[in-house]
Amino acid sequence: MMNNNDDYLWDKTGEPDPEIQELEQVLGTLRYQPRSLEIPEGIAPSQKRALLPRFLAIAATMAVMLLGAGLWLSLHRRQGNEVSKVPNKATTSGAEKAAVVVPDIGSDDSAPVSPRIEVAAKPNRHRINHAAVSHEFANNRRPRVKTPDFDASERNEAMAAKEQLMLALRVASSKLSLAQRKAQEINSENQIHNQHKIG
Amino acid sequence: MKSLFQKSLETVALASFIVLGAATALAQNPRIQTTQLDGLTAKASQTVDINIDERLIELTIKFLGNSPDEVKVKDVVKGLKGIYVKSFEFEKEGEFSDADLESIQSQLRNTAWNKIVNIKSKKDGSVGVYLMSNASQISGLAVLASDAKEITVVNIIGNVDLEKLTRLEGQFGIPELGIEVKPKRKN
Repeated sequence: MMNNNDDYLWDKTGEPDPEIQELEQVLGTLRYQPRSLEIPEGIAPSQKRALLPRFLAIAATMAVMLLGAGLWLSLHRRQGNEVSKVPNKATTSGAEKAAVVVPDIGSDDSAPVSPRIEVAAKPNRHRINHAAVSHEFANNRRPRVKTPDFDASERNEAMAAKEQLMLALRVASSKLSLAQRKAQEINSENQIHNQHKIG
Repeated sequence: MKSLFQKSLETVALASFIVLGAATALAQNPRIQTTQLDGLTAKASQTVDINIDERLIELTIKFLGNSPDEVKVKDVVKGLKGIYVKSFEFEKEGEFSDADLESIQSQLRNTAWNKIVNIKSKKDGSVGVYLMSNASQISGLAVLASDAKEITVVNIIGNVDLEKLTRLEGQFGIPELGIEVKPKRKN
């Protein structure tokens, strides 16, 4: 079987082998037979159902487009009105111009500005702990801050400016108080001195 | 020839007028120059250098809330055109010279500035408060305080209410300084 029927087994050119023919018949039923896909009746989508989402999608797209167009038109009109309100001639004083040029808080524009405060521990003196005060403002004041129409950079700038402002006011008020107290001290000393003289 | 002389006379008069005007404007400027003190930064153990112009003040005012303390601060800074503070504290005595103080005092000797308080003490240092007035309005305030280990210059531009500013101490997280009250001398 192996010698003479080999050719039939490989390419069907030799003498037919009945065993192989039998096998062919048995296995031939399992051979691939191309046929079109048959979808069961229950699974097949109906034409009406398919149409509804399509219409919905088209309607939603149109609605979004209309909304967008409306928004754009209203924005465009508002901008036009604002431009028309701007006076023909801008007037600024020299002081205002100078004020715009002046800021020299820090040198890096990208980072939020902050006061240049170098702190060293000095426990023996009755001095102001600038860092502590600054920290206090940072902790106590920030959450209570209302931020109307500020973007992030403006908010950072305002926060830094606020801390600077508070520190500046603190130093200014403390020095003025110092002057006031010293003046009062001198006055009271003079009064006591005069009373002694009179006595 | 006459017209040439007349023209040159007019030019000289105009130039004098401009120079005089500029000088007057400079004399009336309440901004104190403190850049000459910048060299002290390296020696100082603690430095405060604050420069807040009108734009930043306005921005901060918008940012302040409506709590009573913040309203008080708003009230003080409203209408100010600038707040500038430079303060140096040193570990040792004698880190700054009289020339450093003089560079500030010379500007305050200008006739536009009125000295309202000037207290000098070898022990406690000195404090000077100066005001620049424009008609009936204050246009600037300068405070120069110094002792053996500290020099502070405060310069506020605009119509500042001194009383309100002084009263801020101890409020809004601004601590009472607890400035050492020296024992009174025995007479």
